[in-house]
Amino acid sequence: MRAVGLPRRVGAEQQWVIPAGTIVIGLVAVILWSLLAASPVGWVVASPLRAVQIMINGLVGPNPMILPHAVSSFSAAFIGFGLAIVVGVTWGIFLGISWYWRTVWEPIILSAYSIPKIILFPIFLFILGIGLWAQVSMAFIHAVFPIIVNVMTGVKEVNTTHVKVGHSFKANPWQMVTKIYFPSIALSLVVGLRMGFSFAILGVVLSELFASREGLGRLIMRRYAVLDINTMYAAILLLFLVAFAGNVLFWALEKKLRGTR
Amino acid sequence: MPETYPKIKPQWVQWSIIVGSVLILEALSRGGLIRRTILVPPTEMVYTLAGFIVANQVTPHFIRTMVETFSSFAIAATFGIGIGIFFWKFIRIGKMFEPYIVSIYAMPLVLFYPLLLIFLGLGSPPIIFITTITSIIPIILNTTIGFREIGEVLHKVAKSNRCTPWQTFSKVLFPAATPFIFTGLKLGFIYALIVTIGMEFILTDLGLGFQVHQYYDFFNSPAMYAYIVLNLLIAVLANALLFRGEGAVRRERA
Amino acid sequence: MKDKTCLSLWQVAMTYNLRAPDGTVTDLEAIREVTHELRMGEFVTIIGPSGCGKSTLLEVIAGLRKASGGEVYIWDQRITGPHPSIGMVFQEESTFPWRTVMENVEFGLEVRGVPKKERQKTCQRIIEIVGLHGFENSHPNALSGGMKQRVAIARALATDPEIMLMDEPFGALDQQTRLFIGQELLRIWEETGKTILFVTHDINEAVYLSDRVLVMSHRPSVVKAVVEVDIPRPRDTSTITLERFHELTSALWETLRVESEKALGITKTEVHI
Ligand SMILES: Nc1ncnc2c1ncn2[C@@H]1O[C@H](COP(=O)(O)OP(=O)(O)O)[C@@H](O)[C@H]1O
Ligand SMILES: [Mg+2]
Repeated sequence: MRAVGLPRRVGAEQQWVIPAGTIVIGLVAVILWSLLAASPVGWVVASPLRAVQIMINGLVGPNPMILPHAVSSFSAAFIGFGLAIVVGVTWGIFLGISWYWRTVWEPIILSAYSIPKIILFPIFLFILGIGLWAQVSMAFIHAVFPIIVNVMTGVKEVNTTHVKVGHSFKANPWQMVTKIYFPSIALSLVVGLRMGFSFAILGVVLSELFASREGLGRLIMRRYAVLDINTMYAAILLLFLVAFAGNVLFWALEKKLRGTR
Repeated sequence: MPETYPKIKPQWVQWSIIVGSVLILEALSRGGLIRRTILVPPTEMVYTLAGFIVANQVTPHFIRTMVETFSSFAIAATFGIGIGIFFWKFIRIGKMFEPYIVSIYAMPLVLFYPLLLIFLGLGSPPIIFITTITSIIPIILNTTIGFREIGEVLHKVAKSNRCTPWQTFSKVLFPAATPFIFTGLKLGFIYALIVTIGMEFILTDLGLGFQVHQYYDFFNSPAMYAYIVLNLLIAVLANALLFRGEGAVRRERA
Repeated sequence: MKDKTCLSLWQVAMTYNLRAPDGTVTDLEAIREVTHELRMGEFVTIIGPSGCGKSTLLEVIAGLRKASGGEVYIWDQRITGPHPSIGMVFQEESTFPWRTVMENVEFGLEVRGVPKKERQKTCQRIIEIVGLHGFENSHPNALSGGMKQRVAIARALATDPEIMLMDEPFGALDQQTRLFIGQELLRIWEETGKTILFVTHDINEAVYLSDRVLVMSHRPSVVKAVVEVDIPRPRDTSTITLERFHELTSALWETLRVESEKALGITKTEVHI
């Protein structure tokens, strides 16, 4: 006895409209880029097609000139990001659980979050010397703070009633973590990881522009200096694609987690 | 499980950590454990900085950095709130742009500097441009969320009081979204400061960020550290003030 | 004047179109037919199982929602949108946290362009009537739930509407607070002479407050019963101990029980789908 009529179909509200719009915006951006490349300022802008060609050639062609730089930049970014995850998650959980230590550390961490970390690079150069580890250090300090802050907030805001429910069912510590805590903080964790990932890449590239032995940032500068705009844009494109892909991946996960609450 | 914690006030521990770290650095440096080219004693950093300030050496750089930060922030705030409202009104358009908006953080926009040089010339304009784009993102996102999160009942109150569209916006919706907008502005300002100093550090010939770069090139560690300290102090101070302000806004409303 | 009709509902019906993301539309018939008349100065309560369309009906009368059938008249004017002579207090917390109590109450007059001096005078009086004297400059967050609802009531009263629509205004309060604030409401009603259409899911509250109780059926809802409450006024918190009070509440429960069971039954099957 439900007071509900028969379902009927209408045309509107299609699910593909938004992704299609997103793709159209991307295409428009590529077209604008092409126009820019064809314009009088084209001598500092490579055309998208050229950039893609050179990027692929530089990565998998017979003489891959971009590949070693890409390997250098991305390994620095991933090592730094990985370390930041380990340190950030541990600290985030610890500070989230303990009111006392959170009160002690929160202002310090939020202040550290807000400083322009790149100006600390010279200090790391003094300590670590020029090379991969200097870039790793920049990836790490750029990535670690958003992870700590988000994980801490997530843990702090775990619903205490859910925790009590867990205890009342006599869940063991492992079950508490996997069945109560982790699902509760998953969203904040993913937000932290997304920002950490983005900032890690940013930290590496910025520091490479300042001082490095190899890496995409350095390659871009070198190629610009000799006005090899095509290679320069191939490297920029590669960076943007990886940053964009990683970001959108985490962001999609984020939206999925948000959808379940 | 109730937490057991030390009897000492957390604020005391906090200051002990800060002061303790400074003292340790001082000891390491003065004791010769770390070479002076790598680490200058903190007292010397401050002393050098004070010297620069007294000699009026800091002022032009300070002004440059502040002008760049504040002009970027002002542009970002104006357009960011506007775009945020647009993305809320036209929710589908907002969703179409969302993947790009959230990804802009990750993009090293400084790589477009050569192009910006052509359009905007040397000096501040390209920096302001890059800074604005970074600073505008949290403002847009928070504005949109702020308006989206307004409960339906407030729309109904406005409607049942027969508010005009402008009254609905200015007397109900905008004030209801303010706490979120303020958070966006706070983040926007912090980003503006970070990016300005960072860009100066990498690119230009003036500004507080550049001074660090310059003294690094001159192998003048005390001066470099003095400017690092100054940059950090400004960022930390701005952050603290904005957090206070945000707390005040939220206390009144939440 | 007392027996002049001021609000008439004529065959009001409401069917919602539920739109799924995949483009299918399903009809949900919330209200099948409600016909009723309120005379000036009456206190009428609507009671019914949750989800039967009480809020929907009030929003239709307030002009916030267009009914899919039927007509609503205030005096002899057909209602097509929000009407200046109708004030509404909402089920949800609806005070403006960024305004003081005074500024909240001033809102309606402010949007009508009444000068500040004048509207503050009016609002001061209303604030005293609802018992918020001394809290004019407080922000709602400093107030308890019951006091916030008084602010919402004062805000609706300030524009001096003929008819007050109140949608479960005390739903979030505990039983004792409800009883006392109900007594306050009766006093405000007597003092201002408004016509009140009140919604509740609480049978005691319905009998205690009103001249007449309408029982709505489970959806698609109709007015299942109309019960005249012949307990003399003035009433107070001791009214609930009267024999007659129990007779009326028991009678109402008998009618309502069947409908509530239907509502719960439906909810159960919906969960399984
Ligand atoms: N905006 C809406 N769109 C679709 N269905 C609605 C909407 N508002 C209410 N409903 C549905 O109409 C029915 C009546 O709702 P409501 O008037 O809120 O009931 P009540 O106030 O009596 O609990 C419910 O089944 C509800 O799910
Ligand atoms: Mg309701």
